[in-house]
Amino acid sequence: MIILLFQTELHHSGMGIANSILIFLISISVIRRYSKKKNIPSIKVWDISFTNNIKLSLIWLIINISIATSFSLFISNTLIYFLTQICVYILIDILIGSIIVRKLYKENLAESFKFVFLIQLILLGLSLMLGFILAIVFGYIFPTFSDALFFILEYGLVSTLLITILSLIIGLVLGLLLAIMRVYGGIELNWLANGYEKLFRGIPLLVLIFIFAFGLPGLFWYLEPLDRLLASVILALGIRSGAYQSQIFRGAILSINPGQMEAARSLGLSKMQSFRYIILPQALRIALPGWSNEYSVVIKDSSFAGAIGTFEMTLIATIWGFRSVELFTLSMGVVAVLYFLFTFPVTNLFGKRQTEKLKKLGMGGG
Amino acid sequence: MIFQANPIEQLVAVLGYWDRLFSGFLLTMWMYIWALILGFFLGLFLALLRQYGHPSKRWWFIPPFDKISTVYIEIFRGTPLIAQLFFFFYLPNALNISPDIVVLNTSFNLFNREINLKLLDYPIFIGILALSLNSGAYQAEYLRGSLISVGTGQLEAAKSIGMSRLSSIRHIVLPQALRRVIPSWSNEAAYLPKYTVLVYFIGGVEELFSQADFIQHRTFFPLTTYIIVAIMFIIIITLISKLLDVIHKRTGIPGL
Amino acid sequence: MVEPLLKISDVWKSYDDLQVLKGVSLELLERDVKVIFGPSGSGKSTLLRCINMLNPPDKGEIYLRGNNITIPKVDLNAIRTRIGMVFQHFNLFTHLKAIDNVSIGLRRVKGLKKKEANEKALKALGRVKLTEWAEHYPAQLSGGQKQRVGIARALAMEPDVILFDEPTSALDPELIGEVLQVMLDLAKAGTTMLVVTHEMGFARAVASELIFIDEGIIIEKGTSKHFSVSPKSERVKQFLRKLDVLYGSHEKLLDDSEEEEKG
Repeated sequence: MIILLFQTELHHSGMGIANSILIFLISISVIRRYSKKKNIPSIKVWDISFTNNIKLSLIWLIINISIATSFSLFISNTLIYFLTQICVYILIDILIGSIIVRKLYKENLAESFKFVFLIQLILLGLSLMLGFILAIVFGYIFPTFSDALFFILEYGLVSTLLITILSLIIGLVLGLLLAIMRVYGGIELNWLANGYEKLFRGIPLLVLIFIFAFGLPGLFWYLEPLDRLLASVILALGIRSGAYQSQIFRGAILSINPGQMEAARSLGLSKMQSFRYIILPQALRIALPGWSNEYSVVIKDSSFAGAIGTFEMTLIATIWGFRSVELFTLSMGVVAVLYFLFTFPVTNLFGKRQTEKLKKLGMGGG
Repeated sequence: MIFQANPIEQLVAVLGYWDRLFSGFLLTMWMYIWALILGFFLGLFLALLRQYGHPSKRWWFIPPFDKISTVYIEIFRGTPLIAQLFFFFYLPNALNISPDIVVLNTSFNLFNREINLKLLDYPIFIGILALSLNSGAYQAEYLRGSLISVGTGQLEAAKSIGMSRLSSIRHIVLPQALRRVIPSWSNEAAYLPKYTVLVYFIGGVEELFSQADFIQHRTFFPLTTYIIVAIMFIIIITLISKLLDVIHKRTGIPGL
Repeated sequence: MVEPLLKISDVWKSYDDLQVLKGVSLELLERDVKVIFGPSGSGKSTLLRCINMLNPPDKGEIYLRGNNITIPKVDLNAIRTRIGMVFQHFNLFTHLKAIDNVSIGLRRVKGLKKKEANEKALKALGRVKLTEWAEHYPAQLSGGQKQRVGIARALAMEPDVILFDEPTSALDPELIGEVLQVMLDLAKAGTTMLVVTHEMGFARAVASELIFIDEGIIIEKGTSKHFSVSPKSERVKQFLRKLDVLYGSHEKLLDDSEEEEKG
């Protein structure tokens, strides 16, 4: 499925994805400014209604990305066709955006349509302006730099994101499982989970990758050879991330006041129900700063995948820079900046601000 | 399917290269210790700058050290180690400086095998450099956390008895902070050996992981080789963290 | 002979080496309001937690409407829906709004649909006079409001009996009143309550019996009149005097003259 898709044009749509992420970020800040100005009580982006806003953001992001990637599959040559594509894209975006806003915030359709249309207009104007300026700056003033940037993004971004997301998901499942084993399990489960943690934190990631990729070549027999390497990297990263994430979740669960569990049991909720509806939601929120840190570690360590030949940003950068030493240093600098852009805002946003917000809400040891 | 030959035979074959494993281990430890120590002093410097380096209003021409330190820390923590490694490796060439480093070599005899150990040459130097710069940034954050945990109250108290800022940091905050940071610092210290394997990417460094590569190309037993190397790393890391645990207990002060 | 709603029979409980409860027996009839008081560490909270089997007793039995709930095969989760508990530190679910706090038991344990559960939850919040605050999160509520939500949460489950574990001890003095008022209303409406508290004023107003526990044993039982006029045990007298000193403005339970006579 996804692995097969990799063989097609999907991994050439890095630019489309980068664009949509940028647009998404801009739209979030515009929403924020707009709602603060208009004082709309139900559309406060970074407020206590945590789930609603995350839902909105995620759905919008996914839609943006899927539309962008599907369009880049049909890159066309004629200008008119290209413009039509853009218009259709924006229309679909507005339509879906209005429906989402209406559903999540219970505004009527006209209000939400107005709201989304306004945002889309702003974004269009912004992106056109931005695109124009960037084209001049990068196209004429820093041609090599922009060449490197686009090359790296176009061919490397998708795999990097794919590796990161899949490994994080594997790590999440494993990490939660292990944390539950350590907090709620008996001595044997505890010992097992502890052993797992010690084992996979102590092995260098590269060694783990090599063990899966070259030591166990028959592991992913049902995949194409090139995809097998990708799969072994994802597996290795996921297993190792699971060991670290179990620490994060364990700390979060333990920091929840035991009174919460007592209150839940005293209502008649079973152990599993109490965990699922009371402890887990709070633990996830508390774990967010530490987890965003883990995200940044995983995305940086995805650069190891290049070691065994799977395409991702760092390897692409080395390929681009291969021609001469100066170009190589430049491409390393570019790719470093790219990784930085993907890690710093996230850890900053979810790290400091989330910790402050949690204190306000009284969670995290409260 | 997985084991082409008998596991015992595999083990014997791989362990036949014990001299390479040993020299690789030595080089790994050599690089690790240098990176750890240099990284520690760098990290301490950075943490102090970031925490206490805001320019005082009197001397307006002093640059904002705290912001500089913050930028350094965020850059080195926010970018992958590989990119940093490559960047520094090719930088002299890019700047048209030729990278000549004093080369240090040593060799000795152990159990009738000649063990050659290269202690310093250009790739090793770059490896240690990049590792220290990177580890320094991470250690700075741990140290800064412990500086904060000592609390501003004590600084205020020191100020109120007339101590200068520098003096109060040196005599009051630092001793406590250094003791408090040991648990989290041991975390970084114990896991740093893992990152030495990255020098594999610039080639020419024969530390443990590169030796594994060499061995498995000769013996055609990749699984066994890498498992043995993995076990070696686990042992190294476990020993280091146990050692640090002991040190932590020995230097304890009630209440810290 | 009316069967007691709640019967606690010779309950023993120890933590590690410390024997906290030493053979406590107690009965509650329907609509009874009984108050347990005593020095800290006497085992009062432990007793409550034994009753709803959060910490099961080592020895002894507990009967709810004639059914022994201490035997192993009992479905504790179902039993707990019939015993409500209000905590000293409120223990509200911080990630849920007030109305969700109250309705979650109805939805997840009793299986009610969201609409029905919310209706019942609003009714419960109405009884504690907090309907306008239903959509607020615990962090936005004062201590007294939080505790009232806690009471509503227990009420909504329509339990046979509600246990109160020092419900006002963690509150600022100005906020104690609103919670006590709610508890008074509940008592007058016929709710069966077992309350651990120092609030003697409340006890005098509605309690059918006061129980003094010290070091895991029931020292003395009686009506509030009994305690204010002629408490038998010396320890009870000491404790009541301490309460006097502490609470000052509360009505004294011991006569002034008796003190002066002795002194």
